[in-house]
Amino acid sequence: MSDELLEGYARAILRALEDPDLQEALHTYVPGSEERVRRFLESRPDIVQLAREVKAIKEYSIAHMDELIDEAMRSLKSVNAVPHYAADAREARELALSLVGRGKVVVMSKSMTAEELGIREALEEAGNEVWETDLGQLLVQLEGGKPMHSIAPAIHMTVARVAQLLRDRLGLDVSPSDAPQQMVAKVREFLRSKFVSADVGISGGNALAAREGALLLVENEGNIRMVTNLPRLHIAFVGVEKLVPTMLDAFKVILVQAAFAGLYPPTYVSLIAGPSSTGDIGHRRVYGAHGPVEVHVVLVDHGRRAAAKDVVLREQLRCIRCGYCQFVCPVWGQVANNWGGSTYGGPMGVNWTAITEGVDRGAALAMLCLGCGRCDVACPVEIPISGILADLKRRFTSSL
Amino acid sequence: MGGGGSGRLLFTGALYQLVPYIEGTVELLRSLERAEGVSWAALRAARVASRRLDLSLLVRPDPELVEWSRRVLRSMARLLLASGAEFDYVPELSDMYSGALLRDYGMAEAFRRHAERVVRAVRSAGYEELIVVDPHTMDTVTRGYQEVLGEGLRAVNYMELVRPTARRGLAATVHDSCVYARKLGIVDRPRELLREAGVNVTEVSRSGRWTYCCGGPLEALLPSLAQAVAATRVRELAGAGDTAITMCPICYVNLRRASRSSGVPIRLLDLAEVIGGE
Ligand code: SF4
Repeated sequence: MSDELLEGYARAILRALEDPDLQEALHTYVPGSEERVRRFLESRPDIVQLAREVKAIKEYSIAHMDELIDEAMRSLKSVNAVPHYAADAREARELALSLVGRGKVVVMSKSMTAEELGIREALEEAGNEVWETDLGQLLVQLEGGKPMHSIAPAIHMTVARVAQLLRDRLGLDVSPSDAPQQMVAKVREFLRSKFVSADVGISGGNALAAREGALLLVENEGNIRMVTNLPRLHIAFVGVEKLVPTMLDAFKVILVQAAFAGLYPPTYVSLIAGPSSTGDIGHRRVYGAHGPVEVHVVLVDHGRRAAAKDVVLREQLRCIRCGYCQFVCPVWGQVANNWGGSTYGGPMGVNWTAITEGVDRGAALAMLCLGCGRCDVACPVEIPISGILADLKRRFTSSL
Repeated sequence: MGGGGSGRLLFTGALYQLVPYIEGTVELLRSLERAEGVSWAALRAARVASRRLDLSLLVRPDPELVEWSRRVLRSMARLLLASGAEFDYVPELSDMYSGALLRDYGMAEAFRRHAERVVRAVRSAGYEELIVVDPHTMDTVTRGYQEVLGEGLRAVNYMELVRPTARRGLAATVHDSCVYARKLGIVDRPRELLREAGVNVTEVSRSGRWTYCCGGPLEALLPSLAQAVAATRVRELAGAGDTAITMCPICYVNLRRASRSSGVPIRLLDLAEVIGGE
């Protein structure tokens, strides 16, 4: 079994090496991004210091995961949000279906966790109209593929490919010679019509403060504000590893995440602690003003709590998904997330595949790691990424 | 060289000597990678590594590389002697393989057994410390043995013991070894030696702690991927000048092949050739 897995993964890599568009995109875009982040971090020792703090916050949070889950369930209720718990992807999908129903228009903000759980596909199958609203993730949806990076999901697409997808799949009047600006304007128009008609908004979360029941989301496009604000029902899928004790901790996490993702300062931060409300008429609190009337937060396990008990995999749970390790990885730099499982790829993604899809899958993928250790140097929270990969290799070879 | 009683053993780990065989092996694996499916390549690597690293049965060595590896090792020995370092060279001990590849492929049990053999042989011959000449051997006999045996061998790198014996009017860029730069923290010493030898070092942006891999560790498993990584690095190094200095035989052979196959010319020299060359 392991051997067949490895063969399948290796074939995907060989195909990716022969994909001229992907190769061009990666070779022109990636080295510059890596250097930009490095230069920025060299100029901001305060952020590097903050990253050390985040490491400690996340270490504490992983060690106290169960308590934080209980605390978050309580505090979410206290802010009138509805907490849920999903042990695995199936439970998460069932919850999504029961909350959304059928025949609805759903807008989603990019969430690797929702992607991992197959939320979009499940809702579509149940007869809903579902739209990704992050431009890159929308392109991935239109292509029917998987995201190629945690913050740059469509890095594998040329401008011509983007134009073709927008034309063929959305009927937009764009051509490959259009400036990106023009394409973005057309997509914006299209998505606006979806935002205003959407019944449900679905998001992920970059951090969730257990004490306050507050969810933090960070972005540049502005779509997350729309997704989480316009529809009357908002559902957030949040991996239990995203829990931190307090709101201040959560802010630290998102600032470090944005900086190491090369997006500092981030354009927007959304903080959501329960549904919208007003007390302006008769000084009585009424729920449902401009933001959603109902907010549901689904805390998702799907392999994370088991990983928290695995002395090696546990460390990967600190990951804040900045994607810096992907940008610096020589293998990722050749084939992007084609070196990966069904959702996550690259150095962190192979370890995440082991957590969410099973150790045998992660272990087969780990065999294709160079072990060069650039990822370890990059990681803001000092995850020994290549050491975890080396351990997965040991698990692979001992299963042969 | 030779003699006895210095307490220090020159330990090549056979890596420089093995490199001439790698070229042919990789070509063999690469053709099989296409023809018979990748699983073959993967299993082959695992099995070759788990039996014994006897690649000489599979391929003929490249004579040019044989000559290169001898030249580099001779330079290292001469540099050590010129610097007054005392050491023994005992071929059957000095050229024992460290087991680096077994460790890289996660073959924990085979690696532990191999480590035990090496440690026993070195200790029973009365040596306290090794002088090592390449990064993989250094990391393996120290940290690698420590991981599986609870105690590694003491090792010092030849670069720490030598002074340049040659002067060069050379402009070159440095290709740091991943293992030296990130696992062992050896970044400044090669540059000091090069500067002392009169080399004008220009840096690529991915250097030192941020050095980029030569692709070597994957050559036995997925040579096309290894070569793609190597070609990326060669393009980068060539952008900084026409000469690049390596300090690991795996880096050397991978970058050399990538330069040839991608048509990006670059002159590659081992650090020892440059600072103590013939
Ligand atoms: S492993 Fe570290 S560098 Fe990679 S995405 Fe996670 S936090 Fe970022």
